[in-house]
Amino acid sequence: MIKIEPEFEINFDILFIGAGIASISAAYYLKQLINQYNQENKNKLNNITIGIFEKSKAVGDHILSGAVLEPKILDEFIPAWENSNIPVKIKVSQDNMYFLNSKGQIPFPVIPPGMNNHGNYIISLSELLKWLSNECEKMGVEIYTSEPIKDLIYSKEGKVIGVKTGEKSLDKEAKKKANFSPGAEIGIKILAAGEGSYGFITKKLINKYNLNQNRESQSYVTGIKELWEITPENFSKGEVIHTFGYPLDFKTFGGGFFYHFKDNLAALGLAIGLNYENPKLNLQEELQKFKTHPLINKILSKAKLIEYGAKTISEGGYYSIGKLSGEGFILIGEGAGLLNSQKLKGIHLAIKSGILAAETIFEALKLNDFSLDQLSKYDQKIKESWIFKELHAVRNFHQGFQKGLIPGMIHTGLQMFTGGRGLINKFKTQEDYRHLKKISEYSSKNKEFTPDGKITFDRLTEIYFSGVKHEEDQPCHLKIKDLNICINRCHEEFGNPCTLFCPAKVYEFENKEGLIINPSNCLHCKTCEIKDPYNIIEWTPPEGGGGPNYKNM
Amino acid sequence: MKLIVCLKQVPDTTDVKIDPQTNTLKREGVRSIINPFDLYALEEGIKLKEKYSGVVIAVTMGPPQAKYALEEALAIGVDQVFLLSDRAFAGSDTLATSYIISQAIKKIGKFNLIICGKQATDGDTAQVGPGIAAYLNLPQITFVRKIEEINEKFITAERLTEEGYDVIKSKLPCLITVVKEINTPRHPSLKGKIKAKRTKITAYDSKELNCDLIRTGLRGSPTSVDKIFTPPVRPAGEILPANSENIKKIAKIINKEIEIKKICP
Repeated sequence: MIKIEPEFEINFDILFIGAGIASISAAYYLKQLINQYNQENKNKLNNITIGIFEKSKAVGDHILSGAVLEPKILDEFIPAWENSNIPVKIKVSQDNMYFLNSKGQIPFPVIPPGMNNHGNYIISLSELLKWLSNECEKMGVEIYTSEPIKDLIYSKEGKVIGVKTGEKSLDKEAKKKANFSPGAEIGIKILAAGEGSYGFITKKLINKYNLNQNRESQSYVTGIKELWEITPENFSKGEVIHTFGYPLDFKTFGGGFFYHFKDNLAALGLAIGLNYENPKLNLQEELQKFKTHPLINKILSKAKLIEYGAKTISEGGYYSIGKLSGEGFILIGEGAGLLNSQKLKGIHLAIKSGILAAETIFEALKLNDFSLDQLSKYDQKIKESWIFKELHAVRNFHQGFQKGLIPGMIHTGLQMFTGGRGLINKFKTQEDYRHLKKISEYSSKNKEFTPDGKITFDRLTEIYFSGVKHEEDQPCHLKIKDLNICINRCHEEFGNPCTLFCPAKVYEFENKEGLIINPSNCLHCKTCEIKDPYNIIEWTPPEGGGGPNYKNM
Repeated sequence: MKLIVCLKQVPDTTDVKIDPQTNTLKREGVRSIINPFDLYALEEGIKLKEKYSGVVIAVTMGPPQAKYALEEALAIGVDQVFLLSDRAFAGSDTLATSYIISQAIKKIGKFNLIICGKQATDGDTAQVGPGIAAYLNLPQITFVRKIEEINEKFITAERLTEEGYDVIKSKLPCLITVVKEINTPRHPSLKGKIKAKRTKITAYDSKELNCDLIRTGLRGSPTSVDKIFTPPVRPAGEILPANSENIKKIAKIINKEIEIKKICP
């Protein structure tokens, strides 16, 4: 007998990659649609298996977000949310926006309407996810942790029909250890990739199916975040600060934030556009400088560092969103490029895309039709929803800052009055790594920064607060195509900027040994893959369960 | 062969952080794992089953969330699980715990071997394994680093000691506790994880186990904890390069230590 399609020992009807807010929301909504349908119909949708596969040890461990949430999405998603015990409780009480110089601040007289946080909630996304994932599991959604998806399985016709999980217990030389366990192959009807920024499988799908043809390249921001236990007299619960300017120069896109979101717990951070030019920029150090500013420093007196972490954010927006469905799969959430660059918010869009994905999948299940035609309806739904309206209105925001802060402000002002069109509609964008200047081309005014060990710290001290841990004896998950480029060309031309931009100090350069990689420190932020000037680093998922251990980020 | 493995859920010590200011453990949000030594017991049970065929049964006592430990045991490859959970069990010390688990094993019926980890990483007492053996009137071999031979009637095992090892032969049924030298625990397979998720785990209470309530929980526990403290941090050692001068230096340090011990042994 000739086998036409490979048969799998393990099968899931719907498989989500990544237990982030997009996947969890989609699974939650889908399960509700199925349950409701089964109550109302005789022909039931029975035994639909929904699996969520997550690389971290537990749901929420790798989740890092600001985060200020617009509650309108919850009205759509969980209508009675205000009466439930959902961890969305702290309303923004005071919303401030400042322009900072090194010594003082100027408050914005008017907060642009899109950036106003009145009526929004300050949340911990990992806390919200733990709550939602629990609800999902109660309904029968199965969440498998410590299970990264490392590969795709295609049919002869090129349709995605399965995935492969990562193997366990390979040693540094990729030899099998005594308890080696191979990856498992899983057959699927629909794959939904919800991996977040710069997803490993999402990237494979985009490349294989040319999903981003004729779209602008995606641009990114790296957010470095810390959690502090503070005294409420300094900063009351619900208070929100957003800043522009110091410590970033006029040429670098980005800004700071500071939220008091839970009993004496405050989140602060700095988001830095990865299209920056300065080859000597140390992202973590910029956050330290931010904390020395009087406005922030004042609040941190008698405060205590609790957590540290970093994550990239997809900022390209409207013009860089490609096709979101293909043969056997759909892309959801931030990995699909759904993020509002002006608000620097994506949770509401991720949830909405999850809802629309659930509707599409539900229809496919009812019709037993998993064809491209059926899945393409997801693209249509996204385009017709408020997601596209919202993203269209800020389509030129991030790009307007390409030439720096002052032109950016002018562009933003003009965009406000022209429905987002502004002076230039559709800026040409280049990949972030192409913006980095060579040392010889960039006159850096970087002053030596010494952390005080009280409010400011070096990277190694901070990594401890991320709880990061990996199995040490495993192949390096950061693949560098050609180390010679690092040692010879990059060292000369750019001074190995990876040793500076990596928020976890994964890369170090020693004259004797060349480039040293400490993969165990990796926070899975993907900055290196995006910003390395030769574009030769690839981040791949390490052995399941490894990575940061964020508790309240 | 019918094998019983006893498990305990403990705080993940690799997850526990130390508050540098107060020097105390931060237990907040620390997740629970299977006691690492019990993973060796599980692995040994499954290896024996694979070799001689039979069933492996995992038993644990704890609050309802202890079912996650049993879920993991199912994923690793055990066939049946018993969760012992009752408010009347709360606060049990090693004596009461041994009693409750022995009651559960009586309910399971005939078996060949009970395997436990040598101790749990939270209390470090190493008493529950021997306690179960005592309650069931079974011979026991503790700190087993290797099972040399096992058949329907006898087990021969190497017992790790400070100086080397003993070879001990015992009749079956018997209870052994194992050390980490015995094997390399496997990872749960995805198939196992799926099976575990789809298995409903029910809890047995004091009534179902015919427990005498005077012997469970705080009432049945003669042990009380007097004080908990973090031991002082040991200063880092000094590493000296090998040369003749340093040898003298090291000899001096050692001599001094010996003298101190002579004065106050």
